[in-house]
Amino acid sequence: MNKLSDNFELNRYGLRVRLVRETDAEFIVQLRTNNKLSRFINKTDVDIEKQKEWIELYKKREAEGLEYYFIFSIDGERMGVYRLYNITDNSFSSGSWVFSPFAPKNTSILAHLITNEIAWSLFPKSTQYFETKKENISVVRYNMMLAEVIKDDEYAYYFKNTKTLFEKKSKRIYRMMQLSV
Amino acid sequence: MTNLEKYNKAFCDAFETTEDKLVGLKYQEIELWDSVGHMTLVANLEDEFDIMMDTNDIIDLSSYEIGKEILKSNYGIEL
Repeated sequence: MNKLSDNFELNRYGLRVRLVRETDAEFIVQLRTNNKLSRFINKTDVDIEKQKEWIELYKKREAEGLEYYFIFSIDGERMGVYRLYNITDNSFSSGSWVFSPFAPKNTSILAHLITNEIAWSLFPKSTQYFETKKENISVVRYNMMLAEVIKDDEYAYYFKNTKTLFEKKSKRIYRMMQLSV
Repeated sequence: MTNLEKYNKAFCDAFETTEDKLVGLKYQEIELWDSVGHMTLVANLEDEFDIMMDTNDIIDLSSYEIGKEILKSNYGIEL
C-alpha cells in the first residue's frame, strides 16, 4: 500500500495542503463546532485537549498509512480540512469535508479535487466509499455528479467511486473551474 | 417543455425550490446556492440546453435574471 510521508506537503490550485498536526487542534474544534458548518458531520468534543489527544492517535494511524487528515491553507491562513480514512488494500473512505465560511469562493471544491487527486494517485485500483447526509442537499447533488449512489436510507446517501469513474465524471468540474486535468 | 420551463427546472432541481421563488434569486441568498450548489446549477443548465458554458459565464451567473441574459446573449437561447 502506498503511503504519504509525515512531512507531506503540496501546493496546488493556489492552496497549500499538508497533514494535520497537534497545533491544528483549536482550528479543527472551531470548524467542527461551528453551528452552521457542523450540522452535517459527526459531533466533535469542544475540548481542545481532547482534540489533541484524537490527533495524537490519528498520527499513529497516519504513520501506518491507514488515514490522512489534510489541512488546506491560503497564504498561511488555514481554510479547512478533508480526510481519507479506513484505508485498506482495496478501499478507502473520505469525509470530514469542512471549510471556513470565510474561505474564498470555490476553496472547498478545489480542496475536494486535490484530495481526490492525492487519493487516486496513492490508491489507483481502490474503491472509494463515502456517505452524505440527505439534508446536506448541495453536497448530495455535487456528489451525485461525481460518484455512484449505491444505496440510501432515511438519513444518508451512500456513494462509491473508482479512479476511472471519478476522472470521467470530474472533467466537467475541472472545466468549470478552469483547471487542467 | 419551453425554454423557460427548462431554465426554471435547472434552478428548482439544484436548489430544491419552487418556481414562485425564483424571481430575484441571487447567489448566496439562499443556503443551497453556495459554491457547491453553483456547480450543480451550471451542470443542470448545460444538460437542459445541451451547451457547455464558458468559465466567465459560470462566474457571472450570479442571479436568476443574469442567467437569463447570459443564455440569451451568449448561447442564443430565448427564454
